[in-house]
Amino acid sequence: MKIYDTVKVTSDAYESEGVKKGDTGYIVLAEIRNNSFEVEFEFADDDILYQTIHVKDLEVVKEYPVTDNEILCNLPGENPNWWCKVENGFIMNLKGEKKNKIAYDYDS
Amino acid sequence: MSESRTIFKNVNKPEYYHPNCKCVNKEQLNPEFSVIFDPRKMTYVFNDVNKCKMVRTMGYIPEDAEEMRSNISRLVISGFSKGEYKLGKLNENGQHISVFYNIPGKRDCSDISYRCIAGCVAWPNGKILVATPIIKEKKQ
Repeated sequence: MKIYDTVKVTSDAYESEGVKKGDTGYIVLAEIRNNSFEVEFEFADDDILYQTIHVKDLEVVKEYPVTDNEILCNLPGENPNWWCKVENGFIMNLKGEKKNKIAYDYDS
Repeated sequence: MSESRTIFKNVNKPEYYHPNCKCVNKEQLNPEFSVIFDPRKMTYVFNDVNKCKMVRTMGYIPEDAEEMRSNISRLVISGFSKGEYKLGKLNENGQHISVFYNIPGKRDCSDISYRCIAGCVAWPNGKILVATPIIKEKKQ
């Protein structure tokens, strides 16, 4: 899971923010902050909403081809230490380092 | 709560930047703004069904992507500098802003100017990240 991927929300925890379980959007910022991606949702009448969603509450619907270099260009300060991808249950940066110790337990 | 002020006579008023004073120094801030606009965002616009349909109604085709990116970058800086923006959410990713701009159509729509919005995030030191480059404003 990374920037520009189309993702679906799997939790109803964001309904008060206007995002329902099952809504799809796309990841619009490269970096992961507080184990969350910033996702853009487009609703009827071209309404756009940005919402920070925890990675555990997202599933990839459609991957978008992006190289590591393109991800780097979108990271603050183009710093490769930023967490920016989720692969096989691990939050990772461009150096291949993993943030969590246990797969799919993003707080470990 | 009222601020205490020290009033000096002309004969003994201190120079500015002296220690322990209560002078208020207001600087004219004039930062240089720069836009961070990943070229892939325009590619994404033309690859997404709904977004592509929207820009095509304005006369733009995928070959115009780089020209659009350049124009929108310039228009975002211009719009932001003139205060033509609306504040959105402030979160850990930064201050979200919607910058308003007018962009001319192309080809059959070249005589029409479209009012659009760019979804951006204001970062420190005058940097503006373009998150959503073009949303046609709804007609009211």
